[in-house]
Amino acid sequence: MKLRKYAFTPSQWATAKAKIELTNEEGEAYYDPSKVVAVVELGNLVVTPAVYDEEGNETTPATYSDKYSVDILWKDEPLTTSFSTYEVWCAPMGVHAMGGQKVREEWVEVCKSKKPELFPEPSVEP
Amino acid sequence: MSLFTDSSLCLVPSGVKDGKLYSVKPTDGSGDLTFSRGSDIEATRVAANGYIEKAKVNLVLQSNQFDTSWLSSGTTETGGQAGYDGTNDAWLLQRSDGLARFVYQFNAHTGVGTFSVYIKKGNVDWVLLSNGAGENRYFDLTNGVLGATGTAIDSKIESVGGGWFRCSIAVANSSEVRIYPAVGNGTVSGLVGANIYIQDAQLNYGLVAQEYQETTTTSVITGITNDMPRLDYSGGASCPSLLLEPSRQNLLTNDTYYGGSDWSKIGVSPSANNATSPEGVTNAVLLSETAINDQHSLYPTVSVTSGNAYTASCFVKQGTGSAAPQYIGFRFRGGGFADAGGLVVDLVNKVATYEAGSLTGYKIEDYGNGWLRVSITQSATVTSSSAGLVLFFNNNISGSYSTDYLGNVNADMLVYGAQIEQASYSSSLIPTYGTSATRTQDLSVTASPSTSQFGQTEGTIFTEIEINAITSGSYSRVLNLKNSGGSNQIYIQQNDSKIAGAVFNGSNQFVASTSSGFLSVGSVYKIALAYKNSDYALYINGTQISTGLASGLGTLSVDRLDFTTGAGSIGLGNEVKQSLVFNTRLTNADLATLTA
Repeated sequence: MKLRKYAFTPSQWATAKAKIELTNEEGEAYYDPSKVVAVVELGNLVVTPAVYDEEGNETTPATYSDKYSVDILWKDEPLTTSFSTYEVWCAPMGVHAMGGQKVREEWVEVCKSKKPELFPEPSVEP
Repeated sequence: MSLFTDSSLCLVPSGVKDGKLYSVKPTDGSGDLTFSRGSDIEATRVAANGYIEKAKVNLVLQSNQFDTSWLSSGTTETGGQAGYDGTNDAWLLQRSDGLARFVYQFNAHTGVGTFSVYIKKGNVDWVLLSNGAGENRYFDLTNGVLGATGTAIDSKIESVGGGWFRCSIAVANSSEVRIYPAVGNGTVSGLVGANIYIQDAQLNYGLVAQEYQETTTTSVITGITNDMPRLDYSGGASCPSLLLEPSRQNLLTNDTYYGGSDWSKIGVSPSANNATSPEGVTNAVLLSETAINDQHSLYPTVSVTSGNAYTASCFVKQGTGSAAPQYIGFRFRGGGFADAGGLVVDLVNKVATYEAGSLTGYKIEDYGNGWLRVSITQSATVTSSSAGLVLFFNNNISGSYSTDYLGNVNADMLVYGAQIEQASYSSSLIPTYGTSATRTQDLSVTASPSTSQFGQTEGTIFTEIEINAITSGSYSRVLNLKNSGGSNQIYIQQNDSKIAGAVFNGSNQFVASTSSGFLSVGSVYKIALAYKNSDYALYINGTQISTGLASGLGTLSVDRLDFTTGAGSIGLGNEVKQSLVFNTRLTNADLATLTA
């Protein structure tokens, strides 16, 4: 299993989603278990949280990313067509994780190799 | 007659290993099921001892080989020293000068964790454990007491004999761990060549040190591993059930650590690791009022989407303070919910005494030792980034959620394991340690499909299950015989508060169901579906639900059994107590006996 994180526009996600979906006998779409273990649609993530006054009333609304975030736990190797272009990497796990310990470790290792600047070595001077 | 003897396949949740659920019959392995989930640290169960069980992890690499994956800041590490466990596996950690020197290791996990090491005094009597970012603690290795601390969440020192102690610190940021020889309480530097003995380091998730596990070049995880079937003993059951749940996300970033910025605190103060939790370890949080005139509440913030149902749950118990309230409030936060609903919970009598707002459901479950798991469900009416659940003190059964009053520091409650799921009912606890997490669904299917295992022209399938949830629209195949393409299926299904049975050979030969409203959550049902050309029957709990006379069954090609839907996903959680398959169509009298 491998965890990969993506940020799509709605049309990009529709195209990508079609590559991992099947349809059952009732005509309902479901994710192809030969390709994916789980798909979590995180949606449009908050970029700037809302601001509230002392009474708890919202004074400034939150702002959201215009991209639709999706985490996919792939059964084996991730599909590349329609997906790899939209991969996102963030340290250490972003806002969401799944797949268990070894999957998390693999994601962090790949993230480190692709985005070493996200993992600065802390100072160890006394 | 013995129906067990007549069965061709018998599954009673008892024998499991990683990736396998053994059949009681046959015993040659042909009836075994493969099992997968794809989650370990995200999954829990209620174990035979009645406590919630989590996976056990050691994230430190080379946990007792301090000269390999460990880095040194001016220290030398010498193995072969006499250890706490009678071995010569301990290490002498000695610095080369009189400055603050340490061994350390970086970790991929940056959230809440507990770092522990077995330590004995050397030529200095103190040690400092640190995360390198201000969370630290001094330990007195002569007297076995805690010393000065930084911002660590909690610390412990436990004698294990022979002058050895297991020292541990719980920290909010686990990205680095350090061990310093120290000359005194609050003083690291001074003596040139200061040394101590160390052995068996561990970093695990959560706020308490778990049983030590040795690692080499990778982390180690045991217990509820990725593909381990979960045998669940919820409700004090003496026999386990196979816990099968759909994929679920805990939207909260920390389920039991409330000291960070992801949990807002108004007029309350959380104290970590205060009492025994439903996990059976000392990691419950004591939440106390502070002496200010305000409302007194604890809440996280999550994003919700209009139209979706959300279920918030949390374990709560009456506190130990002299003014610990009998009643507490538990509700949704206003953002996202136009008429945010909630409960006032009586922690002593274990009931809800007041319900307000537009809740679509709630549940109070007794976990023993005074612990209740309270869950509430409501649909979001507004897409919002400021939704959440609120736990608050309320000494009056008024239902008022925002009363201001002067807090009493002796008014407290115990809290553990909070969760918000986008779902219409709560599932088992999904632990989170700094980021939200998804427990993926449980899947189980016959390991070696073969048509010879199952009756192709006649047969009977039986299952005994406890229903964990009922919800409109979703369904769950609680037992399903089928072929690889699904063109032949014999299944028992629950959906919309009814049980249905069907035989499908490309077209429906038999479809029968109870009326809606038949099922109730927490009840156990024994269900049998018998099939033979022109002779079908569905029995539940000793009662005949329906029979059928359709002809045209022909010869089926079913070769596997599973507990999922035809689409491969579980809509609803169930607990399977036993399942039987017969290669003959049992008589109606036998069906009545079997399901009685």
